Amino acid sequence: MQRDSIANTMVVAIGVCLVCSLLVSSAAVGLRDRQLNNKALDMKKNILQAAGFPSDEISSSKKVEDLFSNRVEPIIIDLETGLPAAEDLVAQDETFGSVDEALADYDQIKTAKDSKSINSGLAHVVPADKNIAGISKLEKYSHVYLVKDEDGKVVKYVFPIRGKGLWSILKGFLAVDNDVNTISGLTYYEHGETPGLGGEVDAKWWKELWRDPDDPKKVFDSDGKVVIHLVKGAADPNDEYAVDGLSGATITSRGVTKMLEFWMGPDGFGPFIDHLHSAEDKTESSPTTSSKEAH
Amino acid sequence: MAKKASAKDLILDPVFNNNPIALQILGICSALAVTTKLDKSITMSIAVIFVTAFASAGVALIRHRIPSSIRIIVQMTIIASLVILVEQFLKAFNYGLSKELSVFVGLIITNCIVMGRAEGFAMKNTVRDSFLDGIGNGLGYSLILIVVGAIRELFGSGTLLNITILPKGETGWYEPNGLMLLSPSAFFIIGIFIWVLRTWKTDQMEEA
Repeated sequence: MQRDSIANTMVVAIGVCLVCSLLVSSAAVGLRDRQLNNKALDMKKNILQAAGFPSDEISSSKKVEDLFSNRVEPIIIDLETGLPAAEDLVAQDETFGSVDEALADYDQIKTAKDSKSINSGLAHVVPADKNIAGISKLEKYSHVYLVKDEDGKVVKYVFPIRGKGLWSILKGFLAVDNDVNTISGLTYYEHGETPGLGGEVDAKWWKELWRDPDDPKKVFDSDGKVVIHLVKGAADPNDEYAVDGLSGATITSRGVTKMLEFWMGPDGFGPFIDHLHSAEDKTESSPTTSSKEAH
Repeated sequence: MAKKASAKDLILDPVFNNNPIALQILGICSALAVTTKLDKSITMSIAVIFVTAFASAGVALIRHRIPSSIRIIVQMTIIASLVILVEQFLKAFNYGLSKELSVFVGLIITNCIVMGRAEGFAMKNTVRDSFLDGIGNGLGYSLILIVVGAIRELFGSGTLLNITILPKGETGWYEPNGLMLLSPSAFFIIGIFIWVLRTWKTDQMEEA
């Protein structure tokens, strides 16, 4: 066969493609489990990080697994009702055989993106006027992570949040104390913002601003409205609702503000948070006088 | 290139005498991006050595069959597959580093060194020679990457492989040089490296 003949060209092209695709696909399939494991581990690490565990306690994969299984209780809630709904998810989505499986494997971002989810009711389209975070489709069910202290009392709640920045959807976790108001951490595990500008959302110094014990930040004002926001330049140290914005990244900063507003608001985790607040009022007011607090 | 080059020459020649970065000024972009930390530099080096060596060997293996009309595409396909392989392995075995290196592992595909060796050497030489040449050129690239990475991490963060060498902060005395963490510093270091190399090996000097 002539080297430059059409026949040889075809043979070489097809041969090279076959061999290469075999190589690539076998590597992808063979390493898949390990990669998924790593991704899950990275997620857990981020949840623990948002919850404020120091970095030396989550330095190895074993420590992360142990800490996560001992101190974090994942639950699945229905965003609309705000009630735990892991069983409903299992009933609605036949890919999960059990509640445990759903808790471990449910990927809400993938579900929201999946075109089939709208028909099966696992997600709905967010109306344009409410779509402040740049998420056009919202899942019905969401993870929430309850972080407990050593005695098993819930001390923190970690919420998965996401929203559009300048270039990309930022995905992260917001952790709040058990008053469901004081922020104890904000981390992003995935984003595609400009390195050095908007990309600083995952920088250590910026994360520190969200967990400064001397200057705690709050999500809601006294009327229950989400008021936490980023400001241009340095925030007033007396303002517990303002955090320093990222210089040179106006749109990323605005994205962060908007996604907090969305996820903490009535279309996000609002109903769930309302339940927590009313439960808190009951337990607090029952031993003393039965003062009725409006919420 | 002599017909019967020894293995030693094939490997060591590209490191000092014909360094792909210092003499041919190839592969600069990734050399700037991944050298802020030594562990990143080393991972990237291993990845590039692997890809260059096997891409060259692969191309050399079928060099008599590759039609000249599609030779670049064939080379690219082989290189790209190897890069994906490296990426998959990195994701499976060192997720943290793969996240930090992000797109730059994928961008090995566009590293001129890999392509240059496949087209310039492997198309005309035996599998063994091409493989060794690939390792040599990968090493030449690695040498610069590791030197630059070590300097930048040491002076930029006061650490080497994340172990503190120059103590900083409240208890230490070292004030990290922020410029070292920015890309321009790599330009300076590579420039100085080329200067030193050409002072030592005067035959590499270009005519003024």
